[in-house]
Amino acid sequence: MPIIRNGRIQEDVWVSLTDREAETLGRDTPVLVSLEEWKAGRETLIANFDRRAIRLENADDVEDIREDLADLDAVILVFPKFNDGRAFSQARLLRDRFGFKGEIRATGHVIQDQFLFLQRCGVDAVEVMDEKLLDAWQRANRRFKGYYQPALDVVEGTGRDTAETVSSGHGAAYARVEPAVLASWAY
Amino acid sequence: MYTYNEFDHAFVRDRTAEFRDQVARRIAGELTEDEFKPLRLMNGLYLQLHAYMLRVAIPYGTLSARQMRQLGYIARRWDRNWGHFTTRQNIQYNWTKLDDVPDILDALADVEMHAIQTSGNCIRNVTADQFAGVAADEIEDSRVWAEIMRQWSTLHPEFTFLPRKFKIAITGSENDRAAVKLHDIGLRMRRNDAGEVGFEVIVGGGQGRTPIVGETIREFLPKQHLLSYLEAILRTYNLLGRRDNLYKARIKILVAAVGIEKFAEMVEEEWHEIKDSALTLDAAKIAEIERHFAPPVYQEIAEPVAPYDAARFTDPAFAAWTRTNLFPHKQPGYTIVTVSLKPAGGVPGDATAEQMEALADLAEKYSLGELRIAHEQNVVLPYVRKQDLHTLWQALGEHGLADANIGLITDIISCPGLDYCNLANARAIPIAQRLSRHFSDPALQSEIGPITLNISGCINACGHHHVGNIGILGVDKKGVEHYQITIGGIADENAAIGKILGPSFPAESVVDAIDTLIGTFRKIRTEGETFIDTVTRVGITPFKETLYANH
Repeated sequence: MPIIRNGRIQEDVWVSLTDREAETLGRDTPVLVSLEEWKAGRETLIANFDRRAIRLENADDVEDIREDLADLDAVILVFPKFNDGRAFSQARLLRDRFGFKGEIRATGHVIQDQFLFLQRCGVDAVEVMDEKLLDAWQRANRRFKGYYQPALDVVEGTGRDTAETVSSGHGAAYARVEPAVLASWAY
Repeated sequence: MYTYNEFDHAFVRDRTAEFRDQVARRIAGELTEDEFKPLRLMNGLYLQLHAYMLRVAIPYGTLSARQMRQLGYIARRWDRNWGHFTTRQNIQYNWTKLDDVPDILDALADVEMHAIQTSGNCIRNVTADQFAGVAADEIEDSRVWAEIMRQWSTLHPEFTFLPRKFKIAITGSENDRAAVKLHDIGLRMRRNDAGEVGFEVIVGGGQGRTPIVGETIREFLPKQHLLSYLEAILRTYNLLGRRDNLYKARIKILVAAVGIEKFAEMVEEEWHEIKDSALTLDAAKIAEIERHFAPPVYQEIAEPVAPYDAARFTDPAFAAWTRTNLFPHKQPGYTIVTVSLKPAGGVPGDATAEQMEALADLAEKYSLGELRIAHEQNVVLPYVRKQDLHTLWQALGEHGLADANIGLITDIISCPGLDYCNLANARAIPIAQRLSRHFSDPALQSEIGPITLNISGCINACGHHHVGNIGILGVDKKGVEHYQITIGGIADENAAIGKILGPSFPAESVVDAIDTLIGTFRKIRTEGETFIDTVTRVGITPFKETLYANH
């Protein structure tokens, strides 16, 4: 399925270890593993592949990969059903507390009405059924002029759409934004 | 009270526009009902037995005369001329049409109101002591903090798809009128040894299928850390709360599973990480919100107020009303009036469009333009001069709003039950109506004394039956409505869950059964004892024996 990231539709490059015969994998294959696979083969994976992503189920504890984030290019979070919101907290911890700079992608049953919340929790990529949702993703953070609580907000005009940022795996920049309680308070 | 600034106005308008778009997508078939459901719920829109029900937030139960008037207008224009005030200090419109809802939300936005997060698995409308800011017995005005929490929780990006709904209540008084021990989070304002005011934090309370009285996880939380502490609780719950079973998804189940000490530890650990983050409230920010709740300019009025005392002396019906429906005010010469929405044979919490407009007019005339909604489903006029009471009471009487029964047996809390709600097992309203008619004699009510009688049409307990001194729960017994009776429930600072007396009764026997309980009480009470005092003293056995001997 298509991926929205950096303001455009992209191919999903990540190749699941379990989906591919070992001999077809090269050093340049972007490889995707589960938390279990990562824990079991962390050293081998780092030694053999240049680009690595991990898929976390929503019962997985993000603390388990806290120390490994420098070795990961992307973390893929799963919504088994759109109303299971654990991934929001997972994303927030990864981006905000652990300072993860790579891609955080939401996959599974995500609906466009969640795009804003995802972005404010530090998610910068989403897997979608329909490419037409690109517009909704880009508009999500413009619906409101500000927010009532501090979270992570996309900084306009950074990390968008250059070949360089796409290939380096570092997307939109996130910034801690003061609460727009801002609204009633500071501003 | 709080007034919107430009940001609040724009935010609510933007939110309404978003929902208008979602409704259009639903009607066009672009959203499935399954996908639309959480979106409409987060805008307070339920699909009930007969129609869409819109639940409008009345944040911490505070509203202006202008807002009350608009609620009446909405009832007349888009509903069937009435609304229902709920145990969460909200108002529900039971007969709305889906395509009208965006217009209703616009009409609400015109008066700084909305229906955001009155439903759904998110942080719901924060409730508070209905006497906040005016009660003689309070430490501090809890509305300041309720408003701060309202803002913080509004469209919170991380906590909008929680395992289950999440309710926060706050009281600024030692005497808990907000049932804080029966909420997911309860906050009690406290003064520590150094004289500073902060919060005692209680978690894991709740009613429903598994009623639990909340436990304290922090004795004293300094004010500026309120939001970071709440985020720590919510994050812990969001990550670890159960999602496999609807009935096991509330925070109380998580707290019970890990134990209160362990849960407190987990929260403290999480809090430690975010304690000094952007969530910290500095004094200037707090002061900015406090400014909205600054006390009004009161008149200097010497007590006793002679015309008031004279009216009490000459008008016994008025005197009776002043004995039940008033509460001591901070300011001499003023009082807090509770207007009963519990007339004999009426539907608890219902008000017609005309009554809402009359209340708005009276609030403007006699209560500095402000009203409150109590979780007991009554309306409060918080700033009434004692010299105006007699005139006010007469005016209320013209609109059927002068019942003298606050805190008495006919001041019944009741959910809408099976007359409206698709979750209900049994009707609650007709039971409340029969009981309030049966006990309508003022002398009898006065003789029985203070008591709470709460009715829920199902185990979800919206009618707070678990914490009524007498609780009535509607159950479905082989397709027939039956009612289970509990006694000993308490909603205040001594919160307790009522005990079931025995097998349930069919609808036609409920009034008799309650009458038997009251008869037993009157026989065994000691001088001056209230119903709950007697139950506490003798236990449930004497009540059980007479109840089942007679039936």
